[in-house]
Amino acid sequence: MTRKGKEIIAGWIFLLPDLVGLAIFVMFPAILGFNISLYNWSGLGQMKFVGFTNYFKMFQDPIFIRSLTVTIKYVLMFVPLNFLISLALALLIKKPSKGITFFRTVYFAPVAISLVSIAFVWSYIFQQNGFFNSVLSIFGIPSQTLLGSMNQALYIVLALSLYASVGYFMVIFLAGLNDIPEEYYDAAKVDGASFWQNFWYITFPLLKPTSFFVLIISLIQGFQLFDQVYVLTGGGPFYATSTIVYYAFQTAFEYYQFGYAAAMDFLMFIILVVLSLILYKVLKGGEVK
Amino acid sequence: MRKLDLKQVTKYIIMSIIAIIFLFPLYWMFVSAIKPVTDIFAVPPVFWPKEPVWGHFAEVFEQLPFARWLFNTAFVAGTITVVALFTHSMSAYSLSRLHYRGRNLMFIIIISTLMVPFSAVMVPLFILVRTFGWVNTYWALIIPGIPNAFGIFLLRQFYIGIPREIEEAAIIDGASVFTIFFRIILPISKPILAALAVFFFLANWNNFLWPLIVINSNSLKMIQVGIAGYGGQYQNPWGDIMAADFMAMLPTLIIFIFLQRYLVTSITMSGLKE
Repeated sequence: MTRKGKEIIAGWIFLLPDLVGLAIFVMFPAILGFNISLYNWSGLGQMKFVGFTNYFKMFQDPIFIRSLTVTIKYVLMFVPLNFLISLALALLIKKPSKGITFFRTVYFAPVAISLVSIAFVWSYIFQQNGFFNSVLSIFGIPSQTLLGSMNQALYIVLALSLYASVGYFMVIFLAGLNDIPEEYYDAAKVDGASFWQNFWYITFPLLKPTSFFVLIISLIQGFQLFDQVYVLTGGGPFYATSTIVYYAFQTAFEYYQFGYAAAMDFLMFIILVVLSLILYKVLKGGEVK
Repeated sequence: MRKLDLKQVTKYIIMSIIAIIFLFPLYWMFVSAIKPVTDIFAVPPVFWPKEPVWGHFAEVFEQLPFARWLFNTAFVAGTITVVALFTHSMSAYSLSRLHYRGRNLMFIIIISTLMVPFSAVMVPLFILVRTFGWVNTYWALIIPGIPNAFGIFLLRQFYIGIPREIEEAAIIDGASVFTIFFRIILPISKPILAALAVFFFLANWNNFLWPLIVINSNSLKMIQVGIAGYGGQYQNPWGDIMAADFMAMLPTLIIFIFLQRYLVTSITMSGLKE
């Protein structure tokens, strides 16, 4: 056989394991998921075709609406705060100086640790008689309900998410910042530009591709909030921290309504695709002109 | 010059305060694991117990199949990492250096799977894995975790950057595609493979939702699911929970401390090179 023929065969053989794997474990489930969402199914026994009933049902289900609202509220807080804090951290430790590696390591460390582990300490710190309230009492602030409060629980979940993720995005911003040629800043210095002018006219525009990436990834991550809720609050109190993924998980694996859960998952999938496309349009894929 | 110093000092103070906030939960986890019961919710909080209690760590091993959980986690995360890096290298090599019709289409199809978040397919994936009879087996934990377009994408970027001449010399010598891949390409990709290995291993060690869905046999649990059940349902004493928590977290922290630069490399590469 010719070298060219061998190359074609090798090309497909090399590609095969992952291609088959992705087809079976990602592409096929995505299609299967939509299909299941059209049925009433307990996971065992007969499947009953119900068309789009599961999708209509969602918007009459107060718990689903609650979970959707909580998820959106959380994402609206998580995405911008995560963006600002991780960018601020990156700017803070960008310039090499004494001990900076230590600080970078500390801010980055939570990324390596599981959300479950962190959530347990969080749970302990934010118990009513825990560390957080005893710090408040030093300042004369009365004891708060915290995880038992419908108003406060989501913020505690949010704080945990930020703690666990800002280090990751800080590293991404740091890489983006280091890609900006130093000459731009040197030129601005000659013109006597201030820190904010530097930031606004050089850093921010040139950081657009990085910003786009950070926004997309944190958006997708935010929408999939699950681990923190599972350990910290179990969705409570009174569904105040129940998210789409958490409710879909319960619907499938605690209430055994697979069709309904699949519909929620599919809806979330569509929301994410649409949001990503909108973000892409708005930021034009982060292209720098 | 004084102004500059003041600026520097302020910066270090801010950085230190943030560092304390970041380190505190980990410190609190550890110190609470060695506190006697009376210190757990003491007011004011006890920052270091007068008489540290080391027994909680042993209790965790007595009460739980903790060693087994650690083994399960290391085995699953390790296997996925090794196998995935191998298949991803092959795919990436095929998609970047070999020429055949349909290659670009295949690349687009593979990349499009990045759009499908795991939680959007958890129900159908569970049904599928159950159909295979894999529920409560290592297969369910390992096999679906292997295919991953993210790794393929990063490796492909790396392979595109390898100069053509490196291969050409081997081709003239009559080396086959397989020889080139194993003898030339894999050895020069060691740094990027190391970076991805750390990333994959940690991600799988910390994976929670999927192992929670497919495993309910206690002896097959991965560590995150194990400690989640321990803390949640049984109302165990906080000292024991923190001890279990700390030990579950320790391997990842050690890996992080020693291999941090690899993790930075893999994260840095992930989004920024178009």
